[in-house]
Amino acid sequence: MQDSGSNGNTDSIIEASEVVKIYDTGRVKVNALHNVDLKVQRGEMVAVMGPSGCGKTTLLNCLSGLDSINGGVIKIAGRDLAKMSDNEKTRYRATKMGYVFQAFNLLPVLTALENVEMPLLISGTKAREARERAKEALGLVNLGDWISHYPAELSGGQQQRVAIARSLVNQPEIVWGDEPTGNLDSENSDEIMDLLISLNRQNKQTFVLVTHSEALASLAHRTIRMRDGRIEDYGYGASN
Amino acid sequence: MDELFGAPIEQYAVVLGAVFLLFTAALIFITVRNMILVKMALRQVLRRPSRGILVVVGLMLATAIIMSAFLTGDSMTYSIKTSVTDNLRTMDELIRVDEDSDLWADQAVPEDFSEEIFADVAAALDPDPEVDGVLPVIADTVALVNLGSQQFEANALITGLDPSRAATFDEVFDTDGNPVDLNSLGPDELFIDLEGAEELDAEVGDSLQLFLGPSSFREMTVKGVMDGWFFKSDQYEVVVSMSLVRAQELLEKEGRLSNILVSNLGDQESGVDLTESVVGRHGELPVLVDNGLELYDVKRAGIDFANEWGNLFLSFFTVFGLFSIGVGLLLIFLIFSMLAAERKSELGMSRAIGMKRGHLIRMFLAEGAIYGLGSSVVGVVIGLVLGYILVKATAGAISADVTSDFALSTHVQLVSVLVSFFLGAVITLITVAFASWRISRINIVRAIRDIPEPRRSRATKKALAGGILLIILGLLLMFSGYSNSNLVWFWLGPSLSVLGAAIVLRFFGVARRWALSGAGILLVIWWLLPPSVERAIKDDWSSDFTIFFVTGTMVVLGAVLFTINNADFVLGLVSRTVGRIKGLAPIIKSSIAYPLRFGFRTGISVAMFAVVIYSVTVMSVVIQGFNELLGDEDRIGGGYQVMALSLNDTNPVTDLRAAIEANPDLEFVRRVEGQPSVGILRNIFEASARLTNVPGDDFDDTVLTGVDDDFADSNRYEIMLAAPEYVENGEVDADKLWRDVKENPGLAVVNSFLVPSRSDFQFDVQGETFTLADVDDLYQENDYMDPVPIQVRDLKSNTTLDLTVIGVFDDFASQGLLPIGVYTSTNLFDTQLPRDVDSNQFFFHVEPGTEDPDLKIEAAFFANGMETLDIGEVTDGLQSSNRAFTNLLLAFMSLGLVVGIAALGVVSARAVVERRHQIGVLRAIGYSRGMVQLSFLLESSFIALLGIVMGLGLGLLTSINVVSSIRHEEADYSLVVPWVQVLGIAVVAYILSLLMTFLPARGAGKISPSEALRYE
Repeated sequence: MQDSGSNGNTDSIIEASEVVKIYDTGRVKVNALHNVDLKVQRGEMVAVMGPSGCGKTTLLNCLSGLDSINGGVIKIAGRDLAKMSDNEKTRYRATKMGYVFQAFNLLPVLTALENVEMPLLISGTKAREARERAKEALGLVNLGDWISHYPAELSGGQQQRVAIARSLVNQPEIVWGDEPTGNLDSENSDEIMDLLISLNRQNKQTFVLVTHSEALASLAHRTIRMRDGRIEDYGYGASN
Repeated sequence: MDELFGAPIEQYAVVLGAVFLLFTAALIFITVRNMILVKMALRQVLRRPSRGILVVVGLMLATAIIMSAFLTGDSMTYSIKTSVTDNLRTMDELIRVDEDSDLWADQAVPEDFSEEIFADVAAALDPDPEVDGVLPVIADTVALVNLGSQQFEANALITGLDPSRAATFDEVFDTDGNPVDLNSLGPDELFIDLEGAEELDAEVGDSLQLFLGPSSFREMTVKGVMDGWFFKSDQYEVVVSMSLVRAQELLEKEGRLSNILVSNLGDQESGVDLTESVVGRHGELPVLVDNGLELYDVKRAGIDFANEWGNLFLSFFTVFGLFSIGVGLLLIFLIFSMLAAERKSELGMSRAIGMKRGHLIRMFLAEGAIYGLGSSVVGVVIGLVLGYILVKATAGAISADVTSDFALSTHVQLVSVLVSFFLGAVITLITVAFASWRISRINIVRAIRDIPEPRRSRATKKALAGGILLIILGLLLMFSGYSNSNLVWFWLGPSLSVLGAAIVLRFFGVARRWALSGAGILLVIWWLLPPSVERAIKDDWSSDFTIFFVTGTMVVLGAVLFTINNADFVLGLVSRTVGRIKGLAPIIKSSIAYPLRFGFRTGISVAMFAVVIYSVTVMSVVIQGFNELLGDEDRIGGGYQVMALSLNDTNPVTDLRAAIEANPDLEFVRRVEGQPSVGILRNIFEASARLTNVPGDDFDDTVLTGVDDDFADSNRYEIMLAAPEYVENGEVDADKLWRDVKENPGLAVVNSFLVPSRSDFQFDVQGETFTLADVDDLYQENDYMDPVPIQVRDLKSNTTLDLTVIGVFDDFASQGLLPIGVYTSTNLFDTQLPRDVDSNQFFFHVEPGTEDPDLKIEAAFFANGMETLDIGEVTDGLQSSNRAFTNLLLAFMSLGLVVGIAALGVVSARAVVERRHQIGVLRAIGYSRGMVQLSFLLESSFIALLGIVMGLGLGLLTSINVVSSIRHEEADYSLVVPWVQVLGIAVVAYILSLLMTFLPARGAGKISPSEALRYE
């Protein structure tokens, strides 16, 4: 199925065409993505939904360059991921992308502040500046008073907010979210959803969120629905 | 080798074997009862074979070190034993004059006895079914020269044997394979042994000239070369044999015998098994007792001596391996703690679905047993290889010493292999059992969710009780140490109390950081207090090698406690320095944050490196100090250049100075006031001594040496301890002391070996010889000594001399040149001994620039059986032998570093698995492969460098104390840090640790981020 880009906006930051991903476990080959086509506009918030095992996370990993693909083309901001070296992709991730995971994935040995400043340090920002910007980012997610705490000393919602601060501190063009509210109770979920929406609206950053939450999906510009490694619905009719 | 730390090796084998069997039985029980647990354990082992190998390598090191120590002990025993049995051949006992017989209480001890006795001896021994040979012998020392080759030997043994009995006593063949028949010899013919023939370059038909006394020569022809001998001792390189009658005639000892040799049934190895029963039956034969003779179990005594040396080597290497063995045990504990941490959520799940704590313990024990058994087998094999290398290197070190011709060869007993295996397996299993018990105490929920254990804000009541107990135990140990003058106990006591106090403070809410780092810093300060502090508390402390082991353990423990509890400070420091380098900041941050966050395992890994580097540093400095001292020729050689011995009593040197004057070839001997400068000693080897003021003290063997006036005036040997009148401002006035010895007959000096030391750092085989050990409060470390009255008996003339010991030579005077015994003025011999004592040891001053003075002197006096040593060569040999041996020791101690390096490998491999997911996150947020890799390498570097720097620093600080302590006794001892050696070991250890972590780090870099993120 083709994503025709029928909304007429040609400013696509993510362009995927005929993407194929096969997991080879040695005994069996699993076709995780079947000729997937997708375009996401700059500043758009897209939710990706579907039953477990339909390929949502795989799609996210492939689009973000964390995983390689077996066929098709993925272009981010016009650049073909397949033509980028591992180091280029890594650098691109460090400077242009942010990630929010279901399990928060904070580094347990670093404090909240250190976790947030890590992407800045990786991209070569000076230590003092990195610290200031990390503090700002944590302030933005209302964790200004928790900067010296280790992840184990924070609640799930607080940890996810640290993860969000970390994903945004670099002012990335794209933020990838893999079930960002999946591990949270409803109150914390709502908080995080509000935070993501307001950040998207304020910063005009592109958000691609894999989620099971209809509530979160309803706040996105559009919701893509997947089944068995294919996109069933591009969601253009639902929002915008 | 039959003992370790005083207990029989067989006993170790039985006890350890029993414990091992108990463990095995328990494991079989577990297997039968819970097949599923064992199956799980086995699958865990097989799951990651490469890491399994790493675990086995880590576990086997303690066993390998123990096995190699055993092998060196066995080799030493075997080599001495072989040398004894090879020398004595079929002879097991010998009948000789009993120096202690009451018969000689009022008369001189004779050198030989009447041949008439032999008939009675033979009548008693011949019918004994356990005795297969009895052989009467006359033997003496002569000088001889091969007239053809002009090769000579000053100390050859001439033996005369009864031809009819010789043939049945031992089967000795000549080099053509014909039996040696002493009856076939003509009046001027003899047999020479093969080694002697090679020494003299002699062949059948050659003429040998024997020097039988002043101007008494006899030319004899070599009839045959014996591939063996009837009687020889290891001090002789040449032995010539002939019939008893002919030898008696030549030596002018007609009708006399020096020994009767006895051979038990069996060959040269097995005969000795019957010694106990043979000596038991015949030891008290009236013909022996009534004639002042004894049946001496010569071979058994040699084998006992061999065992003593073997035990010594085993203890020596075990003691020096203690750090490594300790580190090996830490590694075992670490490995199992990490295996458990890795499977934390699995274990939590297992508990959740109904597994009891006991099940977990059993499962881990089963897994530990699989690893433990495998690693003990591997450890034994590796230990054998290591031991082989160690023995080869020791043999090299021994051969560098010119005063020794001992050859060391490799050997191992089955019982040693068994003990090493059992010991390795049992200590592994005990450590695993403890680790398993600790693992079983997990919190199920935290384990399933893999949440770190929360840090308690205060200690539990149980811990409080333990803390209080530790304080009390520490105080008791301190008081007991003080009253027994035991330095280790006294110093250890307060350390335990400090640790106990830290726990108590934790109970009352004092922060962990303050309590533990306070205790840590106190430990470091306490153990590094200068030795003047311990002397101020008490001045008669006694200690042994354990002080080194305990000090190392405690200072490292203190430093690790302090460092790990001040992690943030370390992190901040590094971040502010190296962390400022652009691009390195995030890597430095993560690579230090991880080890500091996992304080327990980091602490253990750092301690492993620190403790080994510490021990190597201290040993290097101490050894270097002694090596510098060994270069002091005057202290070893007394300021002389050549030492000569003439033990040939058939043709002794009568007037050496006149002979030198008369010989133009000896002009190089220095003249003082127109006289040749030679110190002349008259050693009486058949002497015994006792302490006059100790009632009931028996006479024990010693050597009594008379020194002539020249020696008293000119020797530069140092005196370590003297009567108060010779000590001024802590310095001994040796000139004044020797002047008094010379001018006041009856004053004496003894070797340092006769005086006990407060510090039992010396490893010596103690025989039953005369010492001053029973004199109250007499120690080498004292500032001065009260004169000690002693009685010394010359056994040959049965004369007892009353002497007063007023001084003690320093240790270096006894490095092979001076006999171990009592020294007095030779003038006393002239006035008080009823017999003439030959001059038999000579110390020459030689003009500088003389080439081969030792050979020239030897050539001039060879007819007197003079053998010479170049003192410079002796000192060089001692230095190189000492250096080779100590390098070997350092290499052995450095084996512990292998454990530390293996530990880093295990920690890194484990960290990669454990942090797979986090690596995915790092990759996702922009870490490149290289950054991940570098981060892991830096993490290992951080641990290794922390350990190395800690070990070096603490080691150097301790060395300063050790050197200052030694200097208190030994003013010339200096602090010389062998930087190249110490830093070399540190750098090699660091590089190897990097190599060891390179593979896991590379593996970490290769992890695909999406794969890593997929697995929670």
